[in-house]
Formats: sequence, structure tokens, C-alpha cells
Amino acid sequence: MAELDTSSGGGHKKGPGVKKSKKLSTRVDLTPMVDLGFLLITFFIFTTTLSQPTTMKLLMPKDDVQDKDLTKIKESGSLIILMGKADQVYYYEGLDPTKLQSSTYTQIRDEILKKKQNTPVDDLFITIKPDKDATYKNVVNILDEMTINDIKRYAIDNPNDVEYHLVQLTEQAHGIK
Amino acid sequence: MARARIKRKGTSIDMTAMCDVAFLLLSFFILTAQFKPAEAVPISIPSSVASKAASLNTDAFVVSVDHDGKAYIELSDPGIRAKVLNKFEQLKGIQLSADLTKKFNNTSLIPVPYASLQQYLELTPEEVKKTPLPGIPLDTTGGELRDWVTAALQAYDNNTNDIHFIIKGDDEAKYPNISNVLTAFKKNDVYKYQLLTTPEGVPPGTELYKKNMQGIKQED
Repeated sequence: MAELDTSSGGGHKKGPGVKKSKKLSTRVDLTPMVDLGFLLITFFIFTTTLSQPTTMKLLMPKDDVQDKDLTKIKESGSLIILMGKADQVYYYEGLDPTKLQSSTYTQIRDEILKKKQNTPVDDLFITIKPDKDATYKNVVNILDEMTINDIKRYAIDNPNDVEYHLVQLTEQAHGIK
Repeated sequence: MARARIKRKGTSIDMTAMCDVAFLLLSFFILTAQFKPAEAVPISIPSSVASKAASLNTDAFVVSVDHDGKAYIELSDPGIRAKVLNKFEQLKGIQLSADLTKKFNNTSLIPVPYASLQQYLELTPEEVKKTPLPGIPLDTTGGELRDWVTAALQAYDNNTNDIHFIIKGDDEAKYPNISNVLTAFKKNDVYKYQLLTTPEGVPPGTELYKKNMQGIKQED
């Protein structure tokens, strides 16, 4: 297909006593070079358009408004999600932390959906409480769950002493480091 | 005798032209490709289903938190850096020398507390690679980061439409560090942030998936 004609042309003069050289036709097939060229082009086309950074928006409420908001949460509609170390998730409904149940990031979605189906939309409020060993990735995952399950009202807060203590006890009981 | 045999002529197409076009295109793309600046601090960001393309027109004040919980500030262009440094110096009442200021405007990263900034700027790039970077001090009231954010806000006349605050956290960074970064922002009355995340596919069958299928625009 692609070819270059590199055969020695008929430019040589026949000198005396020189044998006539055989004209060897050396045709170089350049198909692989063109293939590589196109491969490199497609590589650069794809990589130059992929450098846009993508972000997730986060809106936080003002700190001074939080106390007023807390009184508006109905006990029946409240779900508290606690996050501990080593990707552990715990949750409980209402106000009683002793009813803590443990879960994983895959199962928590079912729990959230169950809670959502059982409560009227205006009453549902999920509080996310990562403790000091929870990682950023855990928080982003839970925030994702909020978006995936279309939860309209949720807040991020710090666990109080009772909750933290219970989480510690559960972790010790299960031997999680 | 019927002439059954038709003379077949070989058809060889001269591909020189196509080869030329291919190489022209290749050179164009090679020259217009911009390399990502080498990251001084390796951070692996989490993925999120709520990820959308960030607008590139506004200036970005990026706070990076690495997996040990150290915070660094990355300012996207030299224009911002000069303004922010200026305001920060006014705030703290300290002044950097002219050539160090110039060097500051050329580095994109602020990885040390203000007290060591001068020393850091005097290092050569090879020395920078070897020194451990302590990060900007953070604490539960925001730490030095709070002052940098104040300086950035003043540099933009408190107009949060012109500057976006982005948090680039590592997957394994512990939440209290992120919480301190958020406190630093909250003390400056900044409540809208963007978390740098890689896009993730929406799990099928969930509410969000159904919403997307119906083409309902997501509320921000």
C-alpha cells in the first residue's frame, strides 16, 4: 500500500569495464508507520480532553442555626448513622443510642431505603456522625448514599460521648482495630 | 476462442498524502497537549456519583488534605497568589522580600506554616523533594488555614462568585482533619464548597438512577 520508491534510478553512467548493476527494486511498505501514526493521534485526542477536574458540591449550614434545627427533628423520622474505624457503619433510629446496629456500606443503602419508605417525607431526617477514626472516603460514600436515595434532609455532626462510647464498645467486642 | 482472461492491472495507491496529514495532525495534538503539573503531594481522591465537571473559568482555592491529615493550599494561577500573599502579609503584619515574593508567585503549593515559608521558598527544587512538608497548621478553630482563607476572600472582595473553594481530600484522611478544614471555612462565613471527586457510575435501580433516566435535572 504505502510505498516509497527507493530503487536506484537510471542515473549511473556506464563506465568502461563496469558491469551493469542489477536494478534492485526496494519498495518499502509503510503501512505500519501509518498505523502507529494514527494510534498516536487517537491517544493524544483522548488524553487532551480528559483533564477536566470534576467536583461534588457540598453545602453546610451555619453553626448557629443548628440548635434550632435540632428541635424540629421528629424522633420517629430520625435516623442516625455513625461511622467508626476500618469502614464500619452503625445506625439507630430515634433517640436511643443503645439500639445501635452495625452494617456495612453496601447494606446501609437498604436500611436507608427501608427508613425512607416507612416515614413521611417531611419527617425524615438523617444525621451523619463520623467519629474521629472515620475516613474522608467513608463520609463521601455516605453523602453519595444521600444523593442516590434522594434524601432531602440530612446533616453532618460529631458524635456525642454516649454514642462514641457505644461505638468503642462494639468495636472492642468485635475485635476491630 | 473467447477471451476469457481479462487483464488485471495492479492498483497501487500512493499513500504519501495520507501519511502527511496523519503526521500533521499528530504534531498539532502533541504541541497542544498540556502536561499536568507534577503533584508534590500524592493524593488519591474518592469517587462520587454526584460528581460534575467543575467550571474552569473561576479561580480555585484548593485545600488538599493528604492521608496523614496534613493540609496544603494550592492556588491555581500567579495572579491569585500575588493578591492572596499581599492580603495575608497585611493580616499578619509580616513582609516577604521582593525576590521571595516572586518565587512565591511561581510556586503553586503552600505546604508550610507561615513561620517557615521564607525558609521553604529559599530551597531549590531538588531540596524540596527531599524535605518532609509539615503542612499548614490546623486545629479545631481552623488554625492558620483560616487566615489564608480570610486573605483569599479579601483578595476577591468577598465575592464568592469569583473564587471557588475546593477541598481535595485523600481517601484515607481521617475525618477530624477534614472537619477542621471545614471549620476554617465556616469561620470565614464560607458555606459552599466543592469536593474534588472522580465520577462514579450510578448504581442501577436506585432513585438517582431512575431520576437520571427520566432526564430530570439534578438540583445542586
